[in-house]
Amino acid sequence: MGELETRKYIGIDIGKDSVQLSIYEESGAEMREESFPVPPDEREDCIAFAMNMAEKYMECNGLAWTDFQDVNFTMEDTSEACRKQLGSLLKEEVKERFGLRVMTRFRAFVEYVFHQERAVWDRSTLLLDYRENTLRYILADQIRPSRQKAYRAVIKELDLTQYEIYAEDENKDYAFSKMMKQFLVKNPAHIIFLTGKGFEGNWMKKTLTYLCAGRRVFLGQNLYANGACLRGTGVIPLMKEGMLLMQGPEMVYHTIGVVSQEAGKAKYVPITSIGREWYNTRGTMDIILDKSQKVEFFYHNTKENEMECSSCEIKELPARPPKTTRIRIEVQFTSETEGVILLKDLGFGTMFPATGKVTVFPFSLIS
Amino acid sequence: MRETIICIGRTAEKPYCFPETGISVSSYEEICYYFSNYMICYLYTLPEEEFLYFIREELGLDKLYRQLVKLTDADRDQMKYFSALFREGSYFSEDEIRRILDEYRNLKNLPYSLQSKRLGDVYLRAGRASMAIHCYGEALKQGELEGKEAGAVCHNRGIALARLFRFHDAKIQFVKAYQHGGEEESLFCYYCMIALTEGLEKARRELEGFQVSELSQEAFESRFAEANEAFDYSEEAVREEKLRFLMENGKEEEGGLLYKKTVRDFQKAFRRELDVDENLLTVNVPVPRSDAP
Repeated sequence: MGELETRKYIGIDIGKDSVQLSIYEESGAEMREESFPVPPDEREDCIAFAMNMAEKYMECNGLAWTDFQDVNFTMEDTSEACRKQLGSLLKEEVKERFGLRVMTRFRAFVEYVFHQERAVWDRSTLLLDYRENTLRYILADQIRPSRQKAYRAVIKELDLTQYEIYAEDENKDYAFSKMMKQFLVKNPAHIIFLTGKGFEGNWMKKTLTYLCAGRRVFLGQNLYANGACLRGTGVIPLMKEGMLLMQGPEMVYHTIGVVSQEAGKAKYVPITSIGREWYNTRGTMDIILDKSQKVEFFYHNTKENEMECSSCEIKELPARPPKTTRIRIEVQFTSETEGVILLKDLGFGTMFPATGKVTVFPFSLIS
Repeated sequence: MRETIICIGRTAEKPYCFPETGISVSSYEEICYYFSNYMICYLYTLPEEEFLYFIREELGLDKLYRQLVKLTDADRDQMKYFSALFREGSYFSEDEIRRILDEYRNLKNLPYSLQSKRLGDVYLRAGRASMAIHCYGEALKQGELEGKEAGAVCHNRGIALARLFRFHDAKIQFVKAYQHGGEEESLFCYYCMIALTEGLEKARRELEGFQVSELSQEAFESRFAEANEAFDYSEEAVREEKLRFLMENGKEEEGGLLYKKTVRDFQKAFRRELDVDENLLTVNVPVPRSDAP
């Protein structure tokens, strides 16, 4: 009898200081984690270093890319140039099998948190990422405590020099704890994650005492890699339902959809969902044209809860009876607030053959 | 605010072909459109079992499949079957569904002869001449049809017979059609049949017996000439020309191959016209009411 294969997932976090690698096996209790510090002379090309290290790690551990169910990356810099570079370094077979799946560290943390048990994310959860005397924080909390709960994750940055905190200062601990007291009054959190080079060394005494009072605090450098890894295990249900609003750079907080009829009532049906980076946000839907050759799209701003409408006319279609034109709608983003909607004529089976004509409808969302 | 019809289910990789009409469908929406146009085929029966498997396997509409399976009992009202099918998605609005079902009810209340005539028309349009002839025969057997209605049945029966190259029978039907309905179109078809089989002169002489005006006679002749000319430019005519050329120029082998291919193509094209689906004849055609003669 054949042995059942254990499903494995890998997440790789590429930073300028270090490369983190996490492997999750469904049968294992814990993740396998590995960290590779990036030497100063390799920092310019940390992506090539990361890929080199990942290949070597797999070779030493008898692993291959094809052993995994999913491969996800998270990067400190997710600019188009970096994504392209990663794409060029990734083997063709990996790209063919998994695609190039890159996410921001913001999303990776949110994936990590919302893949944990409910107690971790049901109340306020905070991540503090301290490096180069800058404190980046991500706060995930509940924004609609009704029956159908909604959550929001926000990423912000604090320049610590404004709080008179300096990297080499003797009073850093005191100043940091003071700053945290003020911070947590404004942003209460029940669970705090600490990451980043800034927290290394044994300087936190007062700060830790304050943070741990009535809260659960975790320190780790592999949160982003773990989050990327867990992304492969499945989509967070809240994200699928559009109940997780993520406010930060590169994130889409508009949904694009159409209005349909359900049980005699008009209902907004989104084609895309929120909570993803613009380059990871896309959606597709097939519709049938009624008497006219117009399609009305609705843009829902989930942050402000506002709806905007735009109408697209499909021209030069062959004359067909009403309701005999199937159109495939594909929504693609080119930035957080811009993109295109492609409308392809699929005809109506053998009764009314398709022309394959594609109408391009660009959109610009009001942020 | 314009409401959009959102498609449900998958698009099938293997389309489903309705045996009555030979029309293939590959989505839920196409099914709805098909049924709304061909309800006449389901007055006394429902789509075959394979259709339900297609809904489940190819379209992935498991809930609809389970619902329809429950409604396929002979005792159940067929209206419920179609109502459940149309209401699964948003292809038809509630008003449209009601209108379609009303039309279906009206069709069910039509006399058997008219139901048979309508079904025959569907078969004729679908290129199933033999099936159409059977249905027109059923329509005429009842003796309920008179005047223009009876004429229309005879005329269409004549067309179906002509498609099967049964020109002599077709001629009789066209004459009957003219006698019942008095439509010049039936007479023109009769003229064409004679012109094709016995020549133009004979056709002209035959028309004299029907006391057709000179104007009409000229119109018939010019229409027939136009049809002949159109055929001369058709693909079939070119093939025929080529075949004759090969045979007359000592290329019998090549000509023989082309002849075989032509015959095969004709056979293929006419298979559907010739086919009589016993299953459809016994199950899928209207069953006479108990009070019918």
